[in-house]
Amino acid sequence: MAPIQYLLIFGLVLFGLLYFTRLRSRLLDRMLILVFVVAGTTFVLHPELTTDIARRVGVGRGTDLLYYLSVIAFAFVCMIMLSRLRELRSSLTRLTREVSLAAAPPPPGRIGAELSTNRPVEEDPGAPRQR
Amino acid sequence: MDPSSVYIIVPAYNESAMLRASLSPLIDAGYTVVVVNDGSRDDSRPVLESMPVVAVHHLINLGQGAALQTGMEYARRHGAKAVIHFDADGQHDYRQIPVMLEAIESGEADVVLGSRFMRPDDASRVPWIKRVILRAGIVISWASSGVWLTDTHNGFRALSPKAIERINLTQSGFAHATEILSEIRRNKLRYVERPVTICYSDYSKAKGQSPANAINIVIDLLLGRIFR
Repeated sequence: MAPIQYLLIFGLVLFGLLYFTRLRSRLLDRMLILVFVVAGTTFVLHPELTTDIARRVGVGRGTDLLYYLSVIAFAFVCMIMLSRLRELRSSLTRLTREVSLAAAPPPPGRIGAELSTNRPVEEDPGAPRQR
Repeated sequence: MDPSSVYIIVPAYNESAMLRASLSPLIDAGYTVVVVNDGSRDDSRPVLESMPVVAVHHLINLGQGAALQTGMEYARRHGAKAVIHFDADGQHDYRQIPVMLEAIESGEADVVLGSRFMRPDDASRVPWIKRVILRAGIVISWASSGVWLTDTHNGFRALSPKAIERINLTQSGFAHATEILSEIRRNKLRYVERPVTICYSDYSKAKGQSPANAINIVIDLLLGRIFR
């Protein structure tokens, strides 16, 4: 085996181990990771397999096929990350809003007449504000 | 309408220099002034705490749309009879608030939107580059929300309790101006436009939106559509 094959297999196995020990995720995710590690290792051991597949779908070399697929995969991952990021920002906005409102004083004219609100926690208007 | 039941929502981000001048006339008129300090890094917090206003402090900067939504949420929870969106940088004229409130009080509309382009005098005050971009904004807002207005990116608005109840802004940044229109349409709220004069001081010009930001707004709108 060429040194690069050891390196690549080591990387794949490490990735798989880290994923399964550090991150917990849905079943589908796990299956995909498992398929990725197994298929990756197979292709590293038998590089000619990728060329076979590439020929069959009309691409010259296995390397090119992997390159095209990785471009698509990268774009896909970006989309997922962007969408997660937006979700995260939206929950952060709601969280910040609730924290701010919980700490906000009642309207000036209505101190002590705060029965109609649906705020979960009533704050003492005279309490020192925390920074 | 009792002025203290009218909640003036003022989003403020690093505006401490203008706060006192912008807010004093509102306080004097007896309105309930709700300043949403959107994570300012200047001395906005002490300045606000020395004034008879309700200061709601965002711990981090979220954007103008998010600040307005926080203010509306506050107004809703405390039973406001009307809400006014008002800019902190002094470009809006408090004397026009009663005009904005008329259609709410009479029940004619749920949302009153200020417009710079209903009177030639007001329109001529708008710097020409802003005029071009605002015109484009009108078309984009129409394409995105289906509501045609003479001025879509005007921060001076009045809302009825029904509008505060229904409108939910999720665009944190400046795309909220178009999102408000989408929300008006989605909730079948009645709206009217009223002419307002915007005062472009050197301060508000320096602090305001740069024309290039218009592109960001369009991208935010598109992303908001894709990821909804």
